[in-house]
Amino acid sequence: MRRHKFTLGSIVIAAGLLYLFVASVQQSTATHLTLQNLIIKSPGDSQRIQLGGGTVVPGSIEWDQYHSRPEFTITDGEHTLKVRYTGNAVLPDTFKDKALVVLEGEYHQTNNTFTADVVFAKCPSKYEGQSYDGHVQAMNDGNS
Amino acid sequence: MIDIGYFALCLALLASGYGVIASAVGARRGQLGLVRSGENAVIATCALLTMAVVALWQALIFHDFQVEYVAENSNRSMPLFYLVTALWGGQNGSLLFWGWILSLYSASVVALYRQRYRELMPYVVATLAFTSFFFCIVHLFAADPFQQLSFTPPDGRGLNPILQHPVMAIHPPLLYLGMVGMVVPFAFAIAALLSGKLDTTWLRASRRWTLIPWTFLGFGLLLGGKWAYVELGWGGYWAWDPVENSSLMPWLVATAFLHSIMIQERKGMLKVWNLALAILTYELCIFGTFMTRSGIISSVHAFAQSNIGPFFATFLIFSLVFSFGLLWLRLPLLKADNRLESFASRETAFLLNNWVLLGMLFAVFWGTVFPLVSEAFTGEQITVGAPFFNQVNIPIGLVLLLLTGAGPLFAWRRTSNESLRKNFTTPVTAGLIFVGILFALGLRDLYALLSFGLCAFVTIALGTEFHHGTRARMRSTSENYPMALYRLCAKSRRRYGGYLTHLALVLLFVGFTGKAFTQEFEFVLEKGTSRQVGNYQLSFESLAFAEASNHSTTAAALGLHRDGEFLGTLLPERRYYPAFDQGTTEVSIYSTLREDFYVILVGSAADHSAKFKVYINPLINFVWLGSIVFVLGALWAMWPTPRDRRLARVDRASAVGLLVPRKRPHHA
Repeated sequence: MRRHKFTLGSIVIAAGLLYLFVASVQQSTATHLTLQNLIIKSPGDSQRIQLGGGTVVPGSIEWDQYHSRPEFTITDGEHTLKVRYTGNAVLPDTFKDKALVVLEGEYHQTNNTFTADVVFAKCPSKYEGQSYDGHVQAMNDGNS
Repeated sequence: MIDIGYFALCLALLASGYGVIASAVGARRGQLGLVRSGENAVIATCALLTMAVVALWQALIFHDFQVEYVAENSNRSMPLFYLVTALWGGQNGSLLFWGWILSLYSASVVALYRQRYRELMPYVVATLAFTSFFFCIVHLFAADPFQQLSFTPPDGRGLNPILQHPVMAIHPPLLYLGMVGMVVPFAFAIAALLSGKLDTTWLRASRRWTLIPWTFLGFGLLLGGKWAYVELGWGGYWAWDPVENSSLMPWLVATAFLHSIMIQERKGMLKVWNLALAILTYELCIFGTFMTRSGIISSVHAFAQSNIGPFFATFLIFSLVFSFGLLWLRLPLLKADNRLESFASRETAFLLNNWVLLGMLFAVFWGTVFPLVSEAFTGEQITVGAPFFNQVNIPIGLVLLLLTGAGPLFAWRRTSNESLRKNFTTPVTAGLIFVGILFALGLRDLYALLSFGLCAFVTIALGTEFHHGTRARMRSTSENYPMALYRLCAKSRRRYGGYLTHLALVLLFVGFTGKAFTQEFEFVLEKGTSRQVGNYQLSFESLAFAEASNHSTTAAALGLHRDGEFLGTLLPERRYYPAFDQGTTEVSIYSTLREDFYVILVGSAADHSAKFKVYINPLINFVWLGSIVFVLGALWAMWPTPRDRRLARVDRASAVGLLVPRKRPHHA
């Protein structure tokens, strides 16, 4: 009898947890797409997208006068996409030319733009995104 | 030197491989010579890996840029301190660092237990040596830190200025010490399974070896949060990033393990469960390392895509199948000695605590791997964000908080209704009164009310525990209160050290709950003007531009007042490091125990007006305070007691006749 009670208790707890998971998952999801897939699939305006695999096109970042809310262009080497940042947070310091960025927001197919309210930026120089040759190349670019 | 390093790695591979075989064969055949030889191989592996690490340090410090790792992770302008820390700044070096710490842990176990735990030790050594063997393979064939370039570049790439911060020098080693250390309890679990010596011996050996990495890991996580808060300028300290999650997960399981150990020691229950927890903790450490380094999940922290993924995946699958397969084979030997007798017992509280921690683990795991799972089923990677983790973990966390205080109030076996009433009345009343006061003061957030109420409940419950123990001791001795309290805590370090970490959890929760009341402001100020920000008045006094040796900076001077009283001057900055084309945000914080006033200079315009972002973070300092209490409590709990020393002597004495080394001439 006692054993059954414990089993029952465990099942109730597990069911509660499961409900919590399912209910919470539905509220905060985004579909992860690469730039390439975004352009192929072109999801609707209201779908929340996490966009990965793009880097900031050098020189494309346009800040407002107070160095905030930038507009910029990202590329995967083949496609490009104009992005407008509308989020409240201050952008991470790693956000700069050539940074690998992950964006969250909506895609607008009509004018091929993306409105992002979250921007994560990886800095290639720490995270080993480029090879040493890439570094030499970057140094040369900087000098020329 | 580089060649010596590489050669040392090759020898370490051989030594650790030999260590596995010698220990396993020695244990099976009962040959002490082989067993000892296996132990010596572990010491030798440690010495060789130390040589490799020294070789890499030498290359970093003396700028041997022909070594790819050195060229990619350091440059001539870096101060010595950061050249030293560059050892763990990049993928291959940090893996070598991992392997080195592993060998240090292994060698310590061998050195300490030459005469103890003799039935287990050969298998412990074999398991440790096997893990070292795997890491040597990774060092040599997948992530060679000594890889040389075909040319010698004049200078290296260097370390990003964002990471040039003292905390970044200690945060990764702390995490590694935590993650890697979990190999020791795992090795003891595997040894118990292989040797069939499944009593509490392995647990006794594992407890402290779990407590040590658990403390490192917990402190490392909190320190990482502190760094993010001070340096990254987004006003927060935890983002549920996959990398953060992957170090939180083993910590949660290790916490469950540290609690359920006690049930087995006392009651002989949960034998399978404890073995499973020790194994799971280790597997999660490997899984976390795999996830953050193979590039399968995109994360802000993650290292680049690399070819170590398949190595780790293979090792992970092998060790999972091996460990749980072995556990399955041994199930018939793992019958519990006792059954739960009552709901109202310490055992049930511990059991629930385990459930809750594992529930939390599952939630974090689920959210972290959800993109992979959804991709497998729907072809689309669905990511879940921080709201998911918060929504799931807040209720679970509150139950955990409740248990932190309620657990110690239950007696072992069963608690009579009368003593339940006696133990719970004061803390519950205190909690309710506190909630009532907060409600009367206008607090309406349900979770916050619950959390603060529980914090009061736990504090009073634990306080009563300390108080009653002290009073009882005063009655039986002639000590005064402080002395009795000290002696009480010193006598049962485990118990009162544990309670201290429970109090740390209360402090942490006070801090976490403060998050619900964070206020955020963004505004533009003209120089010489001021404005109201929350309860504060902020005046923008001046804007200055300056050039330093390696960066230029724009700094704003802001006067901070509250109710007419001057509190201080805040100096948020924006720096720019041309060598890295890297800007950095230097936040400025006016900090009190009640709240932080956190200012970011977003940017300034040509007319010397500037945009600021302010976060008012109530109670956040309780998080840092909690971190300190956490470490103190853990240290208190793990410090050896006279009883431990006595036990060690008994163990050594009883080992005589088991596997006692005869006096023999030393072989070189």
